[in-house]
Amino acid sequence: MKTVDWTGQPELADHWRMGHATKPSCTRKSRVARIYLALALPLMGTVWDAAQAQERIPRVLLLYPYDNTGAAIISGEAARKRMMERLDRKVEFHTDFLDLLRFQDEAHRRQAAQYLAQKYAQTSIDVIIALNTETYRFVDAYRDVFAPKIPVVFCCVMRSLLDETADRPTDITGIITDYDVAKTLELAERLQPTARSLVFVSGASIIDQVWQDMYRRQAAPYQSRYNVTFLSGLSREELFDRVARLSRDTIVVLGALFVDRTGRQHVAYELASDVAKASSAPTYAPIDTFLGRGIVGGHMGTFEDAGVEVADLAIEVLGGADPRSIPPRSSKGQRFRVDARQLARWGMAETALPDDTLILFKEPTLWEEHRNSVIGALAIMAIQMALIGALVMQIFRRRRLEHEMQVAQSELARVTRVTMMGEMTASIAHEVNQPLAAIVASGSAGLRWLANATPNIDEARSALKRVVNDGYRASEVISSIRAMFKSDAQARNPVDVNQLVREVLALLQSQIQANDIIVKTNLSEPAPVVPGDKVQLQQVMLNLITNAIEAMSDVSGRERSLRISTQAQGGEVLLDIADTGHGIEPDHLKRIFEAFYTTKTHGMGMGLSICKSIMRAHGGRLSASRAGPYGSVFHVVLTSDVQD
Amino acid sequence: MKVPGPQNVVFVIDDDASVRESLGSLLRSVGLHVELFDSAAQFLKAPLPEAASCLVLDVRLPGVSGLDFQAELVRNNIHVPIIFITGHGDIPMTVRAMKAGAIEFLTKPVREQDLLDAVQAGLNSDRARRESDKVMSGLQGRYDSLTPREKEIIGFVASGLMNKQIAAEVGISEITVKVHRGNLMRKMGARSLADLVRMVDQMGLPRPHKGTV
Repeated sequence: MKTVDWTGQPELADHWRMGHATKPSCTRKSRVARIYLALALPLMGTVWDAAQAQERIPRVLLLYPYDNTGAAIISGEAARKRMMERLDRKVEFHTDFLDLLRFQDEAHRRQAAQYLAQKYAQTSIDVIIALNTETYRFVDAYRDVFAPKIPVVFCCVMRSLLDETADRPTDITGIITDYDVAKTLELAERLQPTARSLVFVSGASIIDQVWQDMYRRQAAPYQSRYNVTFLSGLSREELFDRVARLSRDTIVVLGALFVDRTGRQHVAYELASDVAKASSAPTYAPIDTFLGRGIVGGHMGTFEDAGVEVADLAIEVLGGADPRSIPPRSSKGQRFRVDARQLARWGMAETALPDDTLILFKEPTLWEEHRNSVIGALAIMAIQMALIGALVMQIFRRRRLEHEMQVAQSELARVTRVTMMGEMTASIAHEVNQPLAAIVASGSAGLRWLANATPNIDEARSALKRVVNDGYRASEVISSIRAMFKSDAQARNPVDVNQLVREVLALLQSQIQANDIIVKTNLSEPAPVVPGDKVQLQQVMLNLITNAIEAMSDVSGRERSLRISTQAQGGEVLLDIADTGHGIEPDHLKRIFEAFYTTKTHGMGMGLSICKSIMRAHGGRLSASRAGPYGSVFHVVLTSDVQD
Repeated sequence: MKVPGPQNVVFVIDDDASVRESLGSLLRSVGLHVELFDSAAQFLKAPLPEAASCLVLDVRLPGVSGLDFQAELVRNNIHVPIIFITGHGDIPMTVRAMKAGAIEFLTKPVREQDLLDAVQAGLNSDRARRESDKVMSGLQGRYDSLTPREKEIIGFVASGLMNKQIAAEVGISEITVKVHRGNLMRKMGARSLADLVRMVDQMGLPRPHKGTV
């Protein structure tokens, strides 16, 4: 049966012509089709099961008044989405743009109706959504032509129009948009309490005319208070010129602006935007699409909300509700809306606004705009700070520990030095006492040589020489002891390495002799000089030479010899201390510089490790190796470059 | 010393050259002959003069301690009075040194008079010992020249036994005893029996009691 209808071209053409001629024939034709369908369905029942029939997807016809630029597009799209969503996509949409603005004559309307009738002759539409006032008017006038009995819901129809149409069809329902001029003016008056002039702007089309009529009616109560002007039927340029010359203290209310006097068609909100920008006085409108494009604000709902509302109504109707039982209602969410940027432009205070005003386009603060980024960044920064803090803490802790260790080490070094000195007290006492004893004896001798019957001057002279020499010697011993007990932390003075060796040897003279050790020195000339802490270097020498002496203390059957050599080489001074002791086992060689490692029965294991750390502090090195046939050599390398 | 040396010699052993020389100078200034050594070993290598001598010794000596060296000298029967000098003498050290025969223990710096007195005392003591040694060695030489029979009867003679009694004890004739007696008196250089008795006692020879009146 479908094929018959769709392929029957002559019949279709005939029908189209027929449609042109008389409405009833067209209606009859569709009725015939319906009856046909009604008869066919039970017949096909054996082939198509009932479930399939029940699942027929409802068809919705969206009728747009103009082209694809108007506000209806917003409502229509919102309605489509809403229905798709609510009906789980089980809905089919048909769309037609009536182009009522470009073709304003009645003939066009009639033809459009007939076109629709023909277009949907074989397609049963379950509900028609008529978008905007003009569509409503078209549907109201031509419904019988293309959609008799098909339920119609409308959207965004101007309240004034409905109010005016006394005999409006009761089987049509929908969402009314108030375009509330009174409330819009209430807003304007609050923002511009001193304004005395009121200008209404609208275009030149018949639709614009509808707006102008509405404004004229609504403006009536204000005539007494304001100097009211209607700007309509002007060209775009004339309009700009007029609004640009308005006093700042004027309230400008914009209406529909589809066509100007020259017949140029415009996208309403684009022209409104240009006018608002050109205007030297604040502009207002009860139209959602104008907001954000230059007007201060107005009392309005949004076309999107209205679309959603009408979708809900359509679903209700599809569900079987009788449109007659649902009276048209105002779109919810109509309220005062203002553009914060325009408030700022005109220097208007937010405090003047009605309480429930929705302030849009408020320049979001950095915080509002990038809240998450800011929080994220702050969190990252906090983490970084914490990390940095932790690292800094760690560095401080390590520095502190290093410092403590250094202090402990130098304290340990001092203690060791003192302990060493304690052990050597006897030796030192001896060293000091020797020159004193010699002085006393020489002095006595000198006196006696002179007191003799024949005074022996030569003997007396040599006795006195010895007195002088021993005096110096005593003084040297004392100063070297004093130096040993001093504990300057980081003194860096030129130190004569040869002299260092000699002084320490002098200090250890008794031990050297007591152990029958032969000292052989080979000190390079000129004497190498290194920057350093003399006391610390003395300690290293003392330690190394004492070790050498101890290493040879129980050697028998061969010479006990202590060989010390200094040598300047490049920027370094090499100092070797060799003994003929038992030598160090290779295993021990690796470890002797470790703290608390000792090969001695009574050793602490600190001496060499302290020596090593002192050498390190001087930028030098300390190592050991086995020497010749027996014994070991300790190699001290000091840098002779002057450090800062 | 084969060379006719000085009357007195003072040996100074000290490892400290300065101390050693100043002590030497001090001792020489009072007319003493002084010989200096820097170690005990060096001292032992040097020939000892036949003269009254004494030793000034530092307790702390390289290689060996002064006290040990003292003991070593005693073992080797070298009798020389020792005057110890020390930088830090303590009581046990002093006691030990004195017991081993040191004549003085002085602390550095030494008072010159104390040292000179000690040295003088040491030299006197050594001189006396040397003289007594000399006497002893004469007696011993004479005694050594006796025949075994004479050595056998000298004790009886010194005990105051008469010839007849000695003859009975030894089992020889009285005449033979008389000859031996005359010979040993002559060999020993004893002018009288009393002289002989003193010599025997000096030498510590036994005097048999038997037949003692």
